[in-house]
Amino acid sequence: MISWSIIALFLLGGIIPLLAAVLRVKSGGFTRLSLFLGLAGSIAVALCALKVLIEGNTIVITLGVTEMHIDSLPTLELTLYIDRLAAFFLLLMGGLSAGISLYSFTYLREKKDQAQIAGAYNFFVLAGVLFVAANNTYFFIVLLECTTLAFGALVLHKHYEDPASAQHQRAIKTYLIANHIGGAFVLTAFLILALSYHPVTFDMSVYRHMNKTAYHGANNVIFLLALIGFGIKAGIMPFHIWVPISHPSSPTNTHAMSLGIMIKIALYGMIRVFLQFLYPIPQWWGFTVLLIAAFTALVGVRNALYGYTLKDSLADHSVENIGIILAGIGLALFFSSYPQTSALHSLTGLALVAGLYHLLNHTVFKGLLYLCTGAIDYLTKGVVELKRLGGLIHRYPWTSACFLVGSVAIAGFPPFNGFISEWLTLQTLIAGANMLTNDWLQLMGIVLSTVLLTSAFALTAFAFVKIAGEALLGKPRDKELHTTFARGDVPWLMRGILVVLAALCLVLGIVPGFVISTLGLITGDIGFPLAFPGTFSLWGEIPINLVQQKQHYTVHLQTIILFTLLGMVFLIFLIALRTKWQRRARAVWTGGTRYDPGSMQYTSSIFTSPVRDFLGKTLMRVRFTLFTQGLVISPSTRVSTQEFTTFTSEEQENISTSFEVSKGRSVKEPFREAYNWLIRQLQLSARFSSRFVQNGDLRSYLLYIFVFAIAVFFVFIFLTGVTR
Amino acid sequence: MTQLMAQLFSGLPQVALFVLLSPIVVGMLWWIEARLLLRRGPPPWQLYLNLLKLMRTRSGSAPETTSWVYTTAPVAVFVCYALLAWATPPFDPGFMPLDLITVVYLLGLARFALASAGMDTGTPFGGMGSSREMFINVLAEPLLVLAFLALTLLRHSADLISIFSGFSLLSSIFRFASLLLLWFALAFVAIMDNGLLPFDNPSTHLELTMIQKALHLEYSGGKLAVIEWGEAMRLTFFLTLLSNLLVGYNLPFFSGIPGIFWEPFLYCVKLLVGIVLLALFEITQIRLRLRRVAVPWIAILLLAFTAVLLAII
Repeated sequence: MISWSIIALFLLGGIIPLLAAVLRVKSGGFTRLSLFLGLAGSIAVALCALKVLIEGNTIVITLGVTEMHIDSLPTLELTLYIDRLAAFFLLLMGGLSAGISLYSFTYLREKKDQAQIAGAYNFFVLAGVLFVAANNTYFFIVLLECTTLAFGALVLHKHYEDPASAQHQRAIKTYLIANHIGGAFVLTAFLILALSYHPVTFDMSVYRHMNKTAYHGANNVIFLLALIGFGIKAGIMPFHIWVPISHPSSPTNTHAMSLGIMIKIALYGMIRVFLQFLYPIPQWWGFTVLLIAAFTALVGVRNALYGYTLKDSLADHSVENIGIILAGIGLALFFSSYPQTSALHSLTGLALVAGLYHLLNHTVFKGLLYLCTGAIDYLTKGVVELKRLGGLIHRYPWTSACFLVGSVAIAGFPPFNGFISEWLTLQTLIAGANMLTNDWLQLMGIVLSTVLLTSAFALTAFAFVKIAGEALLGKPRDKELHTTFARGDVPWLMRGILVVLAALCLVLGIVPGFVISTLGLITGDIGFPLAFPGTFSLWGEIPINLVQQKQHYTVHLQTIILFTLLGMVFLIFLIALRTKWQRRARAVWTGGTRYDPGSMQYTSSIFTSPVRDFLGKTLMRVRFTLFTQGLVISPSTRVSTQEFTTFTSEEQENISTSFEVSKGRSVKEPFREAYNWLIRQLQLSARFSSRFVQNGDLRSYLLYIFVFAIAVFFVFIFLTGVTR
Repeated sequence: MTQLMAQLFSGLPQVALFVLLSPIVVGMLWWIEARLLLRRGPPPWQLYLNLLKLMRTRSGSAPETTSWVYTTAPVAVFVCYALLAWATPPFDPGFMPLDLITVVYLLGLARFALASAGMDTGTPFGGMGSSREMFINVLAEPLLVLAFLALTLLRHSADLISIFSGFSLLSSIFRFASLLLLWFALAFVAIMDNGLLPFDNPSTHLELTMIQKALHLEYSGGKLAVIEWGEAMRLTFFLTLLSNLLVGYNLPFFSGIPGIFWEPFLYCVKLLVGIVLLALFEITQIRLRLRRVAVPWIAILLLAFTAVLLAII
């Protein structure tokens, strides 16, 4: 009953503003009604999830069964299955969504198409919530696509505001193409999974029970397909390119929802599929995922260095955090491939807890940072380019203070929450390295990913000094533009949400024992309990103790340090309050010339130049341009480059002034060039096939059919093992 | 909880000693370097005098461009570096509430605060300093973690208390070689982190060549004193860490003699040896271009990788 009423709340919240839009009724009342319904629904979801999380009783609700019976086709039943893992995601969704709904009451007030945004947002949240709870493959896939489409409507928002801009057109195109390809991979993975059971079933409870009748050969295929499919949806390394292209076109409040939690439903899918549905787990799975995760983290933060708006940089930076969370999942997969009795296996729970902790943290601080960006966007009437901001801290102290808290948290410094999850991830890696015996390759992999992840962490600090420093600190870079900005800080409702999220960053950072033991319950639910039960008290130290024959490893995180630093934060708070009334008159030292804030302050391009040169000239000597230019494309077959991933002239101009590596070559280009190269090759091969393969001769088509039938026959024999 | 309190009371005097002692370490470094260059040099207690003078200056004024970030950054710098005393107290306190990874993050937090303050001044030099300082941090952090990873492979723990115990008599020659290699890597990080030659020249007077001092440019009075004091503690921390890796707290020759007789002596000798070695190294160096730092960095990274490999043989 309660589930139907939640669904009804969201559906009404989605449909009412759309009706209003269709009937061309312009009224803020519909928007507010819709947001209110969404708020009620979100709170209900969060409360239900909290109940499951505390009590630990898995809820299974059957919402409906189809009456259709066709031989050999399984029945479709829409069942909701909410265990602790699902409840954890639902709690994050409900909590963040409730905050965003409240925030949107003010944020959306001056938007032109506010009703559509509110409506699409409610559909988006509903689809996400149902996806996490769905227990049937069919609905799982359908709801995944619904989530994609609902957010697609939001990505279209900037396109409606400015239909001429090619950037926003490209955003929606790239978004849909990438996500549908991802969806196709996921669909294939799940079809193979369903077909590997006898009788064929779409019911996930069957997969979940370890009654493994699946082919061992198919498991690897399912793993790879699901990794690519969910990987595209989550934006892991080779597929991350759509994230910064598409997301900045959505309204900032929904952007927070999307990158704060919705992009992580793909990681939820990975946890379910890899750790619950497939068995046994080979060692190379975890190894692959771990390495991909480490590279994802590094590439994500590298791109965040080059972002030229707040929204861009944050979207790029989400890729890094996905990498860190995925590193936890990869480590869990890796450790769970060891025999049950070994100490390495007992690390599985800890690795998964580290990943989930970072997921929780990322939801909080990325939500905070996006909502702060939204506040800046609201105050500056849409200006989010870093080089046109600056000095906001003097005018908007609350928003800026919250943004700075988010920056410190995301850079992973104690006593804020990012520290604990990064500490756990690194300690899991180090513990794993200590426990491995004579596994050289594995050890090297762990050492390599430790180095990559640490570099990513250090670069995050670098990136956020740049982002926060350029946008908030110093003096306004464009004085005339700044006179058009709002005078005071954001209204109290938005301010309150920001302060609550900032406080959560602090709270989650100083009671790690409590959070870890709660997350331990979740991982225990899916079969990987924390190896050291009961030792994580509310306030006390966090111990990791591992013993295995000759190997042993111990480390303790003493919470006394966190409390000392908490005291420091309070001291800083008090001094900051006092600073407000302090007289300051002294001019700054600029080498004896007159101070001009517009031209003298550091900009992001010069700020990042040491790292850029270091990465570009010293480490990444591989030049994609060499590949692309080295390939001879004869004039007759030269194919025009489609605009899928190239810059528009407007963007090019923007970039050539600030982000050139060498003349005319912007820093983001290698990835784009790689994609362009792929597209060009695809077009070339299409041309080739049109000339030779698709030649219009009936005999060749018959030949193709014959070859295909033979191939299918052999594949069938190979898969079923019928070799008599 | 009572145990924790007892530990705190035995530890706090040591933290205080560490904090009070640190300026003389920097003073000694200046003095010995000057002597080695055949100059008379400032007396070893010069930094105390500097700090006293700065503390007495009225420091009510802050640049007009700044906000509370500038005002509060020295607090973060001081607290973070003072907390490093928990990692390397002068004498064995029986417990240490820090592990290696937390040390890395404390060092990072202090830099983050100071670099943000550099951006807050809105000057070209502040931005330049914070960009370069964070770049050095980007290089130093992976190296530090890698060296610490090798160290945990040798000691099977990341708690500092179990790392500094007695002499580093290790079971095999490979493990000893590993310890030496990671010691070199850590020494490299120490020089990099503390802004010493060849990465940064602490006595430069040209703003364009500054890294750490560029961040100090706008500070004056008490705030500058707090920052300089904090950085003295950072140098003390690194020297203690490096010497303790080779010679830990509990030496077998002194067993039976109460610690009060030999521990202060041992600590002073360790620090002094460290300072002399550092001074000898620094006077032979010239400043590297910032973009050239990557070359020795890669070499040291490979060294640290080798240390990891040797540790598991």
